This record gives sequence, C-alpha cells and structure tokens, in this order.
Amino acid sequence: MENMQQPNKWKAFLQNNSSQISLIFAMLLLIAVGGVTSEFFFQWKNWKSIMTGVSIVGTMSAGLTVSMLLGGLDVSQYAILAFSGMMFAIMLVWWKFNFWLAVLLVAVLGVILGLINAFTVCVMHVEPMVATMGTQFIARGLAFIVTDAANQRVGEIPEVLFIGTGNILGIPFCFWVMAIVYVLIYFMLKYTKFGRDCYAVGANSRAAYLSGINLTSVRTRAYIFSALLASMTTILYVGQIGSALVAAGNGLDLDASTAVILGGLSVAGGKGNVVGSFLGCLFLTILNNIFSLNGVTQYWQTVSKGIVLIIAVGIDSIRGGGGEQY
Amino acid sequence: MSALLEMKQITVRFPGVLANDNVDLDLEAGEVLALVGENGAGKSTLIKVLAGENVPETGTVTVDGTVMDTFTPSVSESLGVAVIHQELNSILQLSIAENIFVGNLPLKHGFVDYKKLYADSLAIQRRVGLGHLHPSLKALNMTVAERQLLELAKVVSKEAKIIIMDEPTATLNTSETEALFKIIKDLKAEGKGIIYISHKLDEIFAVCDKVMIMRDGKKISQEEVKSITRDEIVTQMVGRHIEDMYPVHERPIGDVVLEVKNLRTKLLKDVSFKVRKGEILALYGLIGSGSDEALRAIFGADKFESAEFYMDGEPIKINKTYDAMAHGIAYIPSERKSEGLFLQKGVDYNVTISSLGAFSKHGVLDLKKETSLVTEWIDRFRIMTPETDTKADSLSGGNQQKVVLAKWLSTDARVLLLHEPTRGIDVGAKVEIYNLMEKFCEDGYAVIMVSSDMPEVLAIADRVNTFYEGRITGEFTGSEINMDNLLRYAIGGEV
Ligand SMILES: Nc1ncnc2c1ncn2[C@@H]1O[C@H](COP(=O)(O)OP(=O)(O)OP(=O)(O)O)[C@@H](O)[C@H]1O
Ligand SMILES: [Mg+2]
Repeated sequence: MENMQQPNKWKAFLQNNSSQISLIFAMLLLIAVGGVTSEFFFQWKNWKSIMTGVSIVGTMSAGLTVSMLLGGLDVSQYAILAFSGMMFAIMLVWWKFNFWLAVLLVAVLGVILGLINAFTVCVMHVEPMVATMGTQFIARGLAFIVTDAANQRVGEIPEVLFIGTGNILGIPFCFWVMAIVYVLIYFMLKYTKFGRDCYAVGANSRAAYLSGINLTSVRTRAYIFSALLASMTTILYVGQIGSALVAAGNGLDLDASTAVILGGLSVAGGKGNVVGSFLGCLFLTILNNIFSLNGVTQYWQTVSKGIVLIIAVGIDSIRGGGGEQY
Repeated sequence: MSALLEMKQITVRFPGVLANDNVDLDLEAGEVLALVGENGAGKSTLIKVLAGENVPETGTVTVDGTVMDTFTPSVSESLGVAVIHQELNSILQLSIAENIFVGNLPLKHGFVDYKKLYADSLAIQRRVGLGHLHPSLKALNMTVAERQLLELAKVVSKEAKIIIMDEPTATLNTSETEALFKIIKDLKAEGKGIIYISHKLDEIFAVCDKVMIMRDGKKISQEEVKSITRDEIVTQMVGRHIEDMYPVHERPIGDVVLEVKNLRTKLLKDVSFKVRKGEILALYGLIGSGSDEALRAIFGADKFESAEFYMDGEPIKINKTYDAMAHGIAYIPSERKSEGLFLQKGVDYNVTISSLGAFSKHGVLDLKKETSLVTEWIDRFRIMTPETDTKADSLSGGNQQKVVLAKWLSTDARVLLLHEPTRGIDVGAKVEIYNLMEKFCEDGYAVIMVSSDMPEVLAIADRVNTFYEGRITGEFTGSEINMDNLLRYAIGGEV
C-alpha cells in the first residue's frame, strides 16, 4: 500500500513495554538511594539476601501472573503457602515421610486447593477475588488447626537445609529455583496454546469462547498453576526459616499481587507478562531491603507498600487496563 | 450560497500510516455526499476529524462559517455535527430510551420522568423502524441490526446540521435499508447535510447527490452521481477494473454434510435444515426472524433448548463452541469488535488464535512459521496493516473484518457458518472472499450463511431457506432465488 510507511520498531517496543521500562528506571533510582543511604547496600552479602528474599514472592508471582492474566485477583496464595508449609513439616517430622514424597504430596495439596478456586470461579460463578478469599480463610484456618497453632521446626533434614542455605555458583539455591520457574512460565505463555488462551480469555472472554476456547479448562489450569506454585514455594520458605510457621505470610496476602500489578499486568486481565512480574517483585524486595537497612519499622514498610500499590493500580486504570470494555 | 461544511487540506498521520493526505471536502445544505474508497482508504479517519475525534496535523474545518479551532467531540457536537459510527457504540447496559436521550433525560421534580421519556423515545423509535420494541429494553438484548437502527435514532433525536453515517447499512437488509433511505430523504428536505459512507455502491445511486472517491489517503475525484457509472466508481476506487463481482458458479453438489433437526430456542420452533457438500446455503430473514439464532446455535454460541445435529449422517453433540470446532465447524460472527477480535492484540495473534495447531510441534508454537502464515493471509486479503503485530484496534473496520475471516479460514473447517461475512468490506476484497467461498465449496466443503445483503444472497447462494417468526417459511433453489420470493417469504409467505 502506498501510504504505509516504515514504523519505528523501537518506538513500538517502548510503547508496548512502557510499564516495565518505567519500573526499571524507578528501580535504578531506588538502587541509587540504597547506595547513598547505606554503605552495606552494595555488598555482595546484601544482594544475596535480596536474592533469597525475592525468591519467595517471586516464585509465587510467577504462578499468580498466569491466573491474573485471566482477570481478577487471586488472594489465596500466602494462605496456601502457610497451610502446605504446616503439612510439609508434619509429614517430615511427625510422620517421617521421605523428603521427595513430602514434596510430591505438598504439590498434590496445591493442586487440590487450586481446583477449589477453579470450581468456585467456573462452576459457582463467583468473582475470582471473593472465591480465592474463601480459600484463603479455609487454608489459613487449617494451618492453625493442624498443629494446634504451634510452629513446627523441621530440624536438620539435609535437603531442607540445602534449600535454605545452599549456593550454586555463589548464588542462593532458592534464587535458581525461582529463575527456572520464570523461564518455564515465560516459555509457556509465549510458546504454548495454553499461554495464548490465557491472554484471550483475559482480554475478551466472549470472543475467546467464540474462538473455540474452553473457558473452564483454561481457568482451571490457571488456578491450579497459581496454587501449585504457592504450595511449592512453601518448600523454599520452610527451608529458609528452618520451621513451618502457622502465621507464614499473614498480612502479606496482597504482596505478590502488588508486585504483579506493579509489573504492568492489568487487573482486568489480558495484558502483562512474567518479566514485568519479576521486576515488580525485585522492586518491592529492594524497597523493603533499603527500609530495613535504614531501620525503618515494619509498619512504615506496610504503609509504603500501600502507596506503591495505589500508584501502580492508578497507572493501570489511567492507561485503561487491558480488558476490552463495552 | 456558502458551503455548510468546508474541510481543507486535511492531513492525519498514525504510526506507520499517512491516513489522510491533503484531503478537501465540501458539503452543501440539503445535499447527500457519498464517500467511497477501499478498506483503509481513510474515510473514517476523515470524518473523525470532523467529529472531533482525530486531530489533523494540518488543515482547517469550517462549519457554517465557524472555524473549528479545537478538535474535541463536544466542540464538534456544538457546531451541529452528529455521527453514526461504523462501530456500534450504544451503552449496552442502558435501555433504548436512555441510550437515545443520555445526558438529556427529561426531568420532573428532579427525577427522571419515565412516562415522558418512553413516549418521546417511542416516537423516535417509530421513525427509524424500532417501534416494535419497548423503550425500556436494554441495548444488550438487541440484535446487531437493531442496534444499528438505535444509532440512527440517537442521531435523529439531535438537532444537527450535518449528519455523518459511516456504513449505516452494513447489517441492514433491504426493507430496513429502504426505511433508512426514507429518513435520509426527510433529513435532506429539512436542509441538513449528510455524508454517507458505504461499500454497497447501489445505495449511492439510490440516495446520494455527489460522490467523493478516496484512495490511499488521498482524494481521487468528486463527481455528480448522475454523471458517473458504478463501474467507473469501482475502477477509480481500486485502481483496476473488476470483471465479475460474484465469481461463484454452478458446482457439483454432493451428500448431506450437516443436518440440523428440531432446533428449538425461545424464538425458534422446531426448525430443521441441512447443507450438502459443495453447497452454499443461505438463511434469509428479517430482524427477529431467527435466521441468525439458528446459525449461532449450530456453533454452540448461545444456549438452545433442544436440537439434534448430524454430521455425515452420524449424530453429533454440540453444546459448546469447542464441540462444534472439533467437528470441523467454524463460525464467523457479525459483531467483529466484541465477538470476533481481541482489539488490544496484534493482527498475528488474532489470525492464529483458533488454528494454533497448524504451526505447533509437540505443543510448542513455531513463531517463525506463524509469522509466515499470517503474512500469507495479509497478502491474500490485502489487509492494510503496518506490521504483522499491529494492534487490531488500529485497523480500519473493513480490515478488521478481513482479520476475522482469515482467522476462521485458516482453520481446517469443513462447514463454514458465515454471519454477515462481507460486512464493511470493499468491492475488491469482496470478490476475493467470494472466490475463497467458491474454492472452499469446490473442495467438497459446505457454507451456511446469514446475510442481510440481498444482492449477495441472490448471486452466491445455491439454496435459500427463508425465516419468519422462528419458522422456516420457504426453500428456494436456482431461478426461484429472486428478490420477490425472498422478500415475500421473509414476511410470512402467503401475501
Ligand atoms: N487509531 C488509529 N491508530 C493507528 N492507525 C489507524 C487508526 N485509525 C485508523 N488507522 C489507519 O489509518 C488508515 C485509514 O483508516 P480508516 O479507518 O480511515 O479507513 P476507512 O477508509 O474507514 O476503511 P474501512 O472501509 O475499512 O472502514 C488505515 O490504514 C488504518 O489502519
Ligand atoms: Mg471506516
């Protein structure tokens, strides 16, 4: 066509990834602030602790990205982490299960909890946020019930110890796990039919259905993903702490969602990617790290998280979200 | 007499596209100006400048002596410009009456005066042929054609000097189009200026005074309708001569592929029909006749009460769209924006979303192969897009329609269900689509189509079933397929 001109590829790339790019700039700024306010900040030891910290929220966010792409929040992840953590410890310590069997059963538990979420959303047609809130209460309650509200030490099991403190090539083992999860999910979203379908369902579920996509199947798999990764993250968590805590992640229920939204995923669904989610997690972790290094209290950290969330969601809605509205 | 509207040297640029290149447009009071051109020629872009939705890079717009200095929809409206957009934009959650009078509801003691609202609404509804619907009906529950008439009602209710209609008849059938023409003639007699965009060229000779032809963002020519022929318009539009508008011929017709028995919905009463190998079957009916519902039911698009389906004589179950797809059935919806497309996704994503299997190996998509498949479709349909991954949202209406067609034609369907397949498509691309349908049938596949475009139905259907009030009233083949029969049986039959 005569009136077609060569569009600027770079410009298009910048436009499509604007939230990730602005996040990178914000992060560079944050790192500069960190360096100025604390001389400890740039030490390798500190970065190792950032890596350890980001691996928990990061692994969960990777799964959350999949379910949130369909539209709606999933707030059950941290409760699932707490409950499956307790079960993991009980299996290892009380029941003396083999480590790998315990890992497998924790995964099964995650799948079951994911199925509950999927059932409530798909069959009972409950809003995702409310549906997952239900699961959140159930899992949180059960976490307390199974040990009568007692934390459970996992002691000296070598595999658990390695997960918590081990390094490969000088980088924490947990971080490697998270990195592999991200690569897999990045690949899944980009190169598989399931990945394409997630975007379609989130962007316009009517058109997705009329494109021959099985909405229930896509949603079910996405919720399973989200819950499964939450339950698997518990193994990293228990490894790092050395115990399963009944109140693990209590009050942090929206941390992963905040990171994901910060990474440019639209709350309405259909827009965003896993790279953004990782950047969001890294940003929040570094922010917390700087606060801790400077002796800012937990309470102020919570306040700042709220501010960051509002800014992120505000930007998302000013941009018009990703979902198509009619 | 000075012109009612003067647009001078309008230039509009989008990323990668020069959509309007130094375009002039003049309109007198009491005149109907047709604006024609291929998909992506820049027609909608130009009228969106007048509507205050596009800001031109250069150029001036003068309405009735007043220069438009800022380009916003409210400025445009205050100058007396009203628009019926190519894409329907009624607010689905609101009623007919509320849609017509939104922002201007009659009040009584501070509350909405529903009695007056409904009475006023009904008066306007009758004018545009929506008198049979209650003003409190939500737009959500209206068919696409009814929503098109609602757009017209909204414009008629405003006291505008200039009325723009961007493809108002794309989903209307013959009698509804007649009603629209009558309204246009009334408006013209009242001294309004009308800009009329359409790909149905016959309409131009029916209601327009002048015709302005655009190509590649430029104004090519402007003529009196009296002094130009249809062929001349087409040749100027597409830059070449089109021999045969409907290149569909007799072909051998085989056994029954798909049979629908006793289809029952709220509206349809035990409807049965079948389509054979190599056949193009048209279901023809007016708004509310159920022809479109029948088509959608076969694909599982909407819920139905009961039905039996047979594929090659074997009973099959269809409850959901993916059941139908698994049996080789494809459905192309008429409402491309809400049902056919993912507007925020690229052309490539949209084209391949239903045929990912064609380029995946062990469940892994081969993105290089995807790009080359998409490029093939872009070339074949001449889809005007700067890049293969340009957002569907930024394509012109007709090009969006081509994307939806490509999406389904690239699946390995054996039965195509087409709902307004050529809605908003230019003459050149229409021929291409008919060619594809013909080829599809020659390969022994079958097509069922619902179209409001009468000439299209007459020319390409091998058999027609007419629908009226949820029943099939007639079946026609060969020379029985004529306008007389179809119209008569679409309003019940024994008239
Ligand atoms: N918002 C937009 N962003 C980017 N490009 C656009 C936008 N709107 C239109 N275009 C481009 O401008 C060109 C002209 O589009 P326009 O909608 O004016 O065509 P049209 O003549 O109305 O075609 P049709 O008959 O298909 O409706 C097309 O190439 C289209 O892709
Ligand atoms: Mg247009």
